[in-house]
Amino acid sequence: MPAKPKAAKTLVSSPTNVQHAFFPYARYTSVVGVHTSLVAFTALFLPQTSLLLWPMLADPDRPQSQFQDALTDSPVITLAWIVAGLVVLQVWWAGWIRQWCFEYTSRGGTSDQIKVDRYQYDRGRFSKLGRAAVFTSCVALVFHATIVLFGAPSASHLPHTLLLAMVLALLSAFAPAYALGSPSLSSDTSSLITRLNWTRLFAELSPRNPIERALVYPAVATLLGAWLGAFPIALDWDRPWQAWPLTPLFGGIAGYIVGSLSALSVSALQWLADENIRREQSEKQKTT
Amino acid sequence: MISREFRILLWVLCVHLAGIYLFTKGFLLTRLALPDRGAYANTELATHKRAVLLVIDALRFDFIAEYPPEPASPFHHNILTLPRELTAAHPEQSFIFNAHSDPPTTTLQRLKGLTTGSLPTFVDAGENFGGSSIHEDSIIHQLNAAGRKIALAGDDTWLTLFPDAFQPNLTFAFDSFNVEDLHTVDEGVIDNLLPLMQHHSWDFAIGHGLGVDHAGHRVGPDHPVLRAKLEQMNHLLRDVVAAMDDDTLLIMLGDHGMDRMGNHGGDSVLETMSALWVYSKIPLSLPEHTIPDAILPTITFPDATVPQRHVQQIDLVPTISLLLGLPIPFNNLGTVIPELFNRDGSSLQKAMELNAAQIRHYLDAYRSSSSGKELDAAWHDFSFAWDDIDSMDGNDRLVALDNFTRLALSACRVLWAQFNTFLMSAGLAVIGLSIVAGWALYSKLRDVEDDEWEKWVDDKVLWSFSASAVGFAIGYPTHIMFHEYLDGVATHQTMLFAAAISSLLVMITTTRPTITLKSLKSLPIFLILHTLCFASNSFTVWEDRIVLFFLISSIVPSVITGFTAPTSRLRYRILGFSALFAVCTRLMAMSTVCREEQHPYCAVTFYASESSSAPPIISLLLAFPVAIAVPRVVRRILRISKSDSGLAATFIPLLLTPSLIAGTLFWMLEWADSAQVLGDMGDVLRVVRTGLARTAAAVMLIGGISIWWTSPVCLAISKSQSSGASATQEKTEVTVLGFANAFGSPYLMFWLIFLSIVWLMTQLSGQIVLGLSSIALLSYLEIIDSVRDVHGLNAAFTSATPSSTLDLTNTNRDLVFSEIVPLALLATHTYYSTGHQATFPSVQWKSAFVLGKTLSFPFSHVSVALNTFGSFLLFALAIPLVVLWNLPPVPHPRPKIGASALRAALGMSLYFAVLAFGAAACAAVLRRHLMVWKIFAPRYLVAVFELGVVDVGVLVGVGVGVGKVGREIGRVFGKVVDT
Repeated sequence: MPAKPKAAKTLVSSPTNVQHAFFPYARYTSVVGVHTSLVAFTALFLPQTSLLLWPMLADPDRPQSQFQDALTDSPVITLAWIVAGLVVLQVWWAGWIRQWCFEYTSRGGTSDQIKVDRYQYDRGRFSKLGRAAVFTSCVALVFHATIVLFGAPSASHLPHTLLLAMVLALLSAFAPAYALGSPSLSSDTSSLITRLNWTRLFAELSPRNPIERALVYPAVATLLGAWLGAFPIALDWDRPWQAWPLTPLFGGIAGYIVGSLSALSVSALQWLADENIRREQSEKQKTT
Repeated sequence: MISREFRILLWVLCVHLAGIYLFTKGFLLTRLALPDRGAYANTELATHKRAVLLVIDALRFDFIAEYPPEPASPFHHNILTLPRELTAAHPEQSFIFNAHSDPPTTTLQRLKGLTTGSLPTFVDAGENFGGSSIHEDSIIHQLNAAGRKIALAGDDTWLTLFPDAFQPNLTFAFDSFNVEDLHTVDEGVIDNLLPLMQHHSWDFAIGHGLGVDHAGHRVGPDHPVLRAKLEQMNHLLRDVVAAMDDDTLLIMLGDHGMDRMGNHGGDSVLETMSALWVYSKIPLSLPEHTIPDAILPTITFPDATVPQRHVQQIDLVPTISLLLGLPIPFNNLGTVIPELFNRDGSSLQKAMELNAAQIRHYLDAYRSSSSGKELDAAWHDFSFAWDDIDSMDGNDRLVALDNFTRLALSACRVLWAQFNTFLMSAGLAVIGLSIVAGWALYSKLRDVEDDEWEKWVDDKVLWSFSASAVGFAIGYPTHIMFHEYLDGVATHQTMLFAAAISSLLVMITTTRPTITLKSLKSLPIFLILHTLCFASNSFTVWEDRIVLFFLISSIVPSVITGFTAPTSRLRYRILGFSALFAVCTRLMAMSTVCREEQHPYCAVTFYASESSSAPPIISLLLAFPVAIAVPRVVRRILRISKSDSGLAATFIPLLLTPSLIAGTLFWMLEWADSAQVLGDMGDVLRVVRTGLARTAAAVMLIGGISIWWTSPVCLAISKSQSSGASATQEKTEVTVLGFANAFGSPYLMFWLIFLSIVWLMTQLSGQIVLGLSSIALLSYLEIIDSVRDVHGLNAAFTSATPSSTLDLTNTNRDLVFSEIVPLALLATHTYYSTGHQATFPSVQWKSAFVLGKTLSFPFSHVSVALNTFGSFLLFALAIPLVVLWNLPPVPHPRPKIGASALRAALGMSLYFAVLAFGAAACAAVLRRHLMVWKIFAPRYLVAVFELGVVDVGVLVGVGVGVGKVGREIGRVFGKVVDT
């Protein structure tokens, strides 16, 4: 993994940066907490709404709780609820990330400069949101093709697979696209930089700061979770929850939550280490 | 001269074969099925003209017992009460027994036992491997031979076993597979059996209901559903008894029991204790004659209080035969049930004499057969018991007769129905150690110095072969010393084991690779997961889909590397070829023959439909285009490295294309012939296509190989005039085209020869799959080549001398195991996509007749083998391409293609050795599993054949192909190549 030496490098070079290190850890922690809980709620409880709308008949031969019934009865409806919930959640979450990105890049500037940037930043919000949405849809299509390549049915279950691809794209691609800009194939400098950024983050997997970590970890963990989620399908237990694509769906969501929390823990750990170094340095300065 | 690569791979093959042989001998016990028929009919003892055999699947003994276990269950005890009511009322007409069903307690095996009277084994030698129909003598055969008419209502397993035995107008068979369906079969029995009772157009009626069994599987025995089922069966019994006349005998039985969960298949007490009830309207047993207690054994059901009569289930076979006046089936090992012959003083003795004589006759016949040696150990006891009979009289004689027949049964049971754990563990030990040795060789070979590896390998070969000779010699005295502890192990098996183990231990101790953190970190995750699949029946059943999943996953690292590639050319190459690879493999997966267990989540696409063996329309349309396109794609890919010249320029268009088209044409004609598209043309089509197939095979094997052997180079030389440094002097510039791929392209030609042979043996849908998998192979070779370039470039950028990137030889060519894994998975994927599954019915017997109209040794056998395991042969042969592809023959450093090709071969063999070990270990651990004979044992057999074929493939590829290419390129470019 190329990530290792680079991570080490940032550690070594951090003492010079720590003086200006910016990251609103308190806010980050609370937002991650709320966000992951809401994602879990969306996955498990939002589909329960179906029960209120269409009280359904459970299969008497395979008795399971009504809670499970609501999730497994119609996978497409479950998926649709989750997509609807995630659209709202991810826009909210990506807004935070973008905000931090802005604060991170504009730190150290004069207050006038920041005001101008702030104006630019606010004005570009909706066009950026639109571009991120378009990009996320493209990613969803690519994911759909990839899932089919991995062995999902190619002719049947189209809505199932497409909605799964949308969930995965929303979880993994939307926030980076909104915060970092969507990569494009045009040849001007800014899109080249965006492309290089995306390659570094999602191909080399080497995030350098807490914001990038908050983007990369959940994205990778989502895909990994969905991959692992494919395994229980083969079991001959004949349970309603083995229906396509429930296991990769919940695998992906679980992966997202785990990834998000581990990004938080790694960043927190790093911050504590930096704090420690800074304190030691300042103590040394005091003594000299 | 035999090359050293050949010798060491031969050693690997021998070790693998030794391990497989030992394990198989312990696991798959064989019993010779003798074709003889029982001939001696005795009608004196016959009491009935007709019989009704009502099988209630999984009817455990306690379901009908008068004294069920305490406390009784409200759901399955005291519900099916008719047998015990009748027994209480008419003890001379109605008999309840606790019958022992021999494990495996599965319906198919039990029906075999119930009709033939023999013991179950997995492979009945002498039987046709293809079908599961019974060829041994059985009650059904005897009924047919006597001209009696047989009716059937219920489970269609009977039709599988006896395809032609039943009266077509009296056969009402229902699908037995759907466990979810509790009622269809039972209602079929009720609706058809009762009307049958009304008229006497039959002599033997079989009813077989599955509801109780399915209810057990689905909800377990403690469930109201089972209660309802048993009530329904009780009702059915009442109706049958009411409709019976005096000439009819009723036998009701459970073919096996069920465990506490409602499942069956194993050998637990609850599974083997099945119910048996015999009822006749005329008295069979008169109380005034007493039977000695010694031949009336009893047994107590777990938790019950009162012991009950205990018989063997196969005892029914001689009993029914004699009561109906039929000869006892030849292979029977059951003993007549004494109560049913107790009418007068002599009947019972007469029946038992006939029974004993039949068993004696069978044992004699078996002993004089080719497998007769198996009985040697027990023969003395047989003779003793037999002689004992003559010296006795009266009741003692009955006891002696019973002794003899029971001794025969128990001795044969020991021989045939038990696994030999000694041999199984010996086999597992040999295969396991061969994996360690293979891995040691594989990793150590990388570290050996370039100049020393030849001597190093020679040493290894010498050491291991001498060690095996010593071990072989030591094995003999060891066996003599310890033979009393080695139960059921023959002398040659001990010697083989000693030879294999000693040579392996010597190999391992002399080749200790250094285990580093890095080698532990690069664990072959897909190999481990693939092997673990065999521990679960579900994952084994769905292996075809899982392999696709792993295959696509295994190239994800390459795709990620592609995104980070420093040049856009490499980026596009990796991403483009990865996409091509993934699309090809996904398209291959569209072709499948489903195995039974995959229903209803699978649809057959390899054939036109589930019940047809014709190719689907799409294959008919695409076969010719694919046959024409594949050679073109191969040339197009070769053109990337400009190596489509030389041999390739003639070989591909003049030999490969015609032979692929001939192969496709053959199967087109076969389809036209069997579908009668062109009307009935007599033998014309057959003669034409046999000629076509033979010509294509001969041209490729003789012509193709000889052309390849004489000039295996794909190079061309172009000269151009160019002005040199001084304008006056003209220089001739010589360019060698195809230099960059000088090793890979000629070896690919070698591989294409085998592709065309396998192509010929593969049906139309399979040919399309083979075409796709060849393209996938070439794409994969391009991917790994580019990925190595990326790693080389990245390493050069970070190194102190970036200019070393210009030195194209300095790229890191060390083979890593993860480069082999996708090809091993692709081989398995191709196996499944070419219409195969790890089941016997999926063998494509059609391919036996490619080279001739009739079965002929060895052509039919070779063509079926190539059809079935051709994919493994092809990809084993292709494995050297992983190291040869795009490897230029530059002088410094000399490419050590011999050593790296050997490593690739060892790696491939290692992959399949691990799979075989996993399959064997899982089959051994799960040998009492319900599904062992349906899922685990067949997968083990496939794994064994895979390993053998892969070993042979790498032997030919590296030992012959790579050696020849290396020498030839070395000759062309001077001594630059280290072979």
